[in-house]
Amino acid sequence: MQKAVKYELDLRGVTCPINFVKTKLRLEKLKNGEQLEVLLDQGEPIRNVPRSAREEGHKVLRVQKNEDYYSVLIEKSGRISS
Amino acid sequence: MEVKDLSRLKAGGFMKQKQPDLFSLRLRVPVGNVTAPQLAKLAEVAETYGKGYVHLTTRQGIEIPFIHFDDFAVVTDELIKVGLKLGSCGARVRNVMACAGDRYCSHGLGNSMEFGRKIDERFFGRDLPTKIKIAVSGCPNSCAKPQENDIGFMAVVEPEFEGSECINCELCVEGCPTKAITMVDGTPEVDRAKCIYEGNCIMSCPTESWKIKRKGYTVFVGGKLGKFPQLGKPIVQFVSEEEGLDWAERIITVCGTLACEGERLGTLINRIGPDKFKEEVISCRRR
Repeated sequence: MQKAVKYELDLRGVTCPINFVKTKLRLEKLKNGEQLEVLLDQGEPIRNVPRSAREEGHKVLRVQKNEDYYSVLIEKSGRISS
Repeated sequence: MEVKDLSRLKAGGFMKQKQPDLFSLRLRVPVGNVTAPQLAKLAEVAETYGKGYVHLTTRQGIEIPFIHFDDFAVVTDELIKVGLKLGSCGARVRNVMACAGDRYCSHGLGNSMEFGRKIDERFFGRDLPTKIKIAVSGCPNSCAKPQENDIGFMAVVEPEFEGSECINCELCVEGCPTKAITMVDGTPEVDRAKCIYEGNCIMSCPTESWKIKRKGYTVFVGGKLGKFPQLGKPIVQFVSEEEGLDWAERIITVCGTLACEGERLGTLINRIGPDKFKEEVISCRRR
């Protein structure tokens, strides 16, 4: 089986709602099925961004807690596919 | 001017200032919303008849200070053209406050603005032995300060886990403000005794594994500030808008019957005790 294409987006230090906007825009550039790993700060960012990505129709595959940040793996799934 | 006339004027939103013949005109601004045409008219009136500014009150109301007694009629005529009505002062139901709620706030668990409007339509200005202040908040962040009002409504939500899609991210565990959620054998469980129905679990879940079991409003009674501040306490939880209006009707009726002149609802509740007060409210027949 072919491994899914994965991109990375480091949004540590980026406040809400800019972090969500950037995530959304980056996902728009992906093809359906491709993955985006987003790095987010604790607190408001991790509480908002994964849920908002879900509301946009994408799939949140994994949320990993690291020492002082989170990494969220999102699978692009939407109307706007590159 | 007679004392009787003054208190009638005050009831209708005209507040006598220190300066002779000058009044600050308090307006009714339910849930703190003003339209653009209303803002334009306010600017015009303040410039023509006042001192060129308006004051935003702590209850989301608007006041136009320095209005001369002789201009009352013309000012009220001008304001009514844009649907601006006079506010209430003294012993009656005051301007109803509300936060944005789920109309556009991402924390909103209920349509506090719409509910607040309904409350205002039904109860605003009703005469009582004492003032009654009512506020509606869309979630437990309490931006509209329901616990500081005589009657406060706070939208709440009860969560339920339906976990077929759960990815064990534990965001619900981390984000719960009362640490009510723990992982038990890889599944999140909520301790109902600690749950404050705030809904972060539902809002932050990236797989929609937490659902809304029920939603409604918590009703707080007896909050007040002033010289002897105290917070309101919940009298009932998870009421619908319809039920909430009914509870408010009964609470206001009991207040009308039992409160002494000038006795705030909180003081009445302290006097007869919260259990007796709740009994009275439950057994009260509508006017």
